[in-house]
Amino acid sequence: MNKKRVIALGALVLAIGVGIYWWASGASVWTMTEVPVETKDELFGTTSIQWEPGFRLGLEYAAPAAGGLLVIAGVLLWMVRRDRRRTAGTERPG
Amino acid sequence: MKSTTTLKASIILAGMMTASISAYAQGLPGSGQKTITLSNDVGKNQFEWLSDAPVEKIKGTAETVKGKLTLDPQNSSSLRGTVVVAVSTMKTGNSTRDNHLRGADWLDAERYPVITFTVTSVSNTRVNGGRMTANVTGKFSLHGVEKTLTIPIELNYIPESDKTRERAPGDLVSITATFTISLKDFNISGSRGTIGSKVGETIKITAKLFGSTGA
Repeated sequence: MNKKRVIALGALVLAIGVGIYWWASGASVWTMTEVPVETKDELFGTTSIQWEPGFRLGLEYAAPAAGGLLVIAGVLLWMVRRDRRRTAGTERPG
Repeated sequence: MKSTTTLKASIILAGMMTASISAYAQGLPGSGQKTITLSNDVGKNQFEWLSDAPVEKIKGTAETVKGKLTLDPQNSSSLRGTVVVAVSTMKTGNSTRDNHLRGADWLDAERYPVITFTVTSVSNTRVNGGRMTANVTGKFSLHGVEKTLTIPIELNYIPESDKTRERAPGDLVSITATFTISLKDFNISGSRGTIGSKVGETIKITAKLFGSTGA
C-alpha cells in the first residue's frame, strides 16, 4: 500500500481518536489538571468535593491537535490522488 | 354505628395532629446559648458552585470557609452569625481559569477578598429530632455589593458522644444551604460576551458548613 496513504489513514485515525478521547473525558472547553472527586461524610451523610491531580483534555488542545492531523491526512491524500493522475497521464496509450 | 366510626376517626386524627405539632414544637437536643465555630476537623467546610452555560458547565469550589454562629437549640429561630469565604481559594480544576476568576474582570479578589453572609433572622423553622429546616435571611456580600437573601437551610445537630469526640469536642453541627445568585446583581460582568455563553448568568451555590460547640 502507498506509504503516503498509510500515513494519511494513520493521521485520520489519530484525529478521530483525539476527538473520542476528548468526548470521553467530559468534552470540556478547557483542559483540567485537577479533577473533582466526591467523597462522602459517613457521620453527616453529606458529600464534599476533593480536588485531585488528574487530566481532562480540553477543546483548546484537542481541536488544534485533531485539526492538524486532519490537515496532514488531507494533504497526503491529495498528494496520493495527484500522483495517481500523473501516473495515469504517462500511461495513456499512444 | 356511623357516629362510632366518626368518633374513632376524629380521635385518630386528633392524635396525629398532636404528634405532628409536638414534633415541630420541640427544640433541638441540648439547651442554652451555644457558639458554633466552623472547623474542618468536624467536616469539610466548602462552598460548591455551578455555572451552567450553553458552551460548558463549570463546577467550582471555594475551599476556605470560616465563621462563628450562635444558637439556642431550644429556640431554633435564634440562629445568628457570619460565614466568611476567601475568594482566593476558588478552584475549578484549571489554574488559568482560576486566575481569571480571581482577577479584576470577575471576582476581583484583590479588592474584594471575601464573600460574607450574616444571618439576621430565621423563619419557618421545623424541627424533627436533631434535624432542623428553616429559611434564613441575611446580608450576602459579594464583589462589593450587599444584598438581602433568604436561603432555605437544613441543620443537623449531633450532641456530644464518644463517636463525635473522634472529630472534635462539643456538640457537632452541619448546615447545608442551596441558593442561586445572579452575577449581574453583584456587578460582575466578566470578559465581554462571556456571561450567557461560557458562564451562566446565574450561579447555583451549595454551602456545606460544619462546626462544633467545643472550640
